[in-house]
Amino acid sequence: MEFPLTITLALAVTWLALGAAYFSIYPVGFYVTSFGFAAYALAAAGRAIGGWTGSRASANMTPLVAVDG
Amino acid sequence: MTVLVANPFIGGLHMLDHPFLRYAFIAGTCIGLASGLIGYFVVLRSQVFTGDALSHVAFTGSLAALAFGLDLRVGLYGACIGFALLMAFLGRRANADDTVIGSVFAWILGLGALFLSIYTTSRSGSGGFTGNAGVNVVFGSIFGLSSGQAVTDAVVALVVVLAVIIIGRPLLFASLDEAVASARGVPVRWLGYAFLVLVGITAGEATQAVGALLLLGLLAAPAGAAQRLTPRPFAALWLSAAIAVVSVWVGLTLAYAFPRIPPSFGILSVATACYLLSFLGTAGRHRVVARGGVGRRGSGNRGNLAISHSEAS
Repeated sequence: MEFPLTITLALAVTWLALGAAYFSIYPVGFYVTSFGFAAYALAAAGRAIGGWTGSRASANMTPLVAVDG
Repeated sequence: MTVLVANPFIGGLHMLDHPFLRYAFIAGTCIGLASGLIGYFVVLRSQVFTGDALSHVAFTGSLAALAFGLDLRVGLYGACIGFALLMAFLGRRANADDTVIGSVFAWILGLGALFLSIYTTSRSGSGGFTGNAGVNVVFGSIFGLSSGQAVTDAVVALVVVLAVIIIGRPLLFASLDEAVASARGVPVRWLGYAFLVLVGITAGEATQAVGALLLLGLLAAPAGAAQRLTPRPFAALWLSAAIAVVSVWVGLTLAYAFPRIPPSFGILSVATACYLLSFLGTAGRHRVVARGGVGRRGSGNRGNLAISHSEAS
């Protein structure tokens, strides 16, 4: 389900950025890059925390790329 | 079209009557010299990507300084030197992949857009530089330098040139063979720090000449051409500086002769043309070497070097 997730995240980042830019005086480019980077940083942090909480937790983590079959 | 094109000789004589062109030539010559020398080591050490990173940081640092009411150069040099030191500190320990680099670079540019917005909205109506701040930082404003700025830029660039002359020999040794240089007592790690600080200062200088977006061209193109034209490292070092200085001179003259040509475009066009010509000039030589099977180019940027032991150490 990686493909729909990336579309979901991209749409969420863009729509949130457009909304934030509408309600503030700062440019939409700043919000798009900030939300996009924040989403990536959160995902990376979640993966790192998952790795630190023990071997059971890391064993249950989703692999970076799941190959069918 | 100006008088230079109508009568090149008279136009050339009168060109330096304009103070803004004199300042551009004074600052541009010194910046070209520093960029050519530093650029050679940047290419030799395969750190061209550092220049790309610094162009992002230069843009955001300059606009951050303007947004907070400081002199543009405080943010420009502060950000470039700080980021260069950070890269030197992280060095090979930082195992950043393409995704991290892409996300961080995009976010740095996004921050630049934020600072530009803060600067233009908080200082709107003050005229002059405000409206064109973004364009001036991204594409340079060498024709807009005052006499004080030109002298400061020239002095800073000459300090960089002097530093390269002082550390050039051990830096060359460390760049070619780090392990052997370290074994011979060369302070490889400190040289790496000092070199990246010099790259940061040069990036700040080049931003004022050709702009944050284009500084990589002034660092990489003359050095790349020089490295193809001669295998001797010190000859290539000074040839790189000469190509960069000539690119600045010809680019500024083109921008004066044809007012539609921005100086940064003129400078980088000449530098890129030199790089392309170096391919034509050395194509025959490389073909002969490749056909002979002996002395093929090695991996990386060091394969084209002919260096004697006494020259490096």
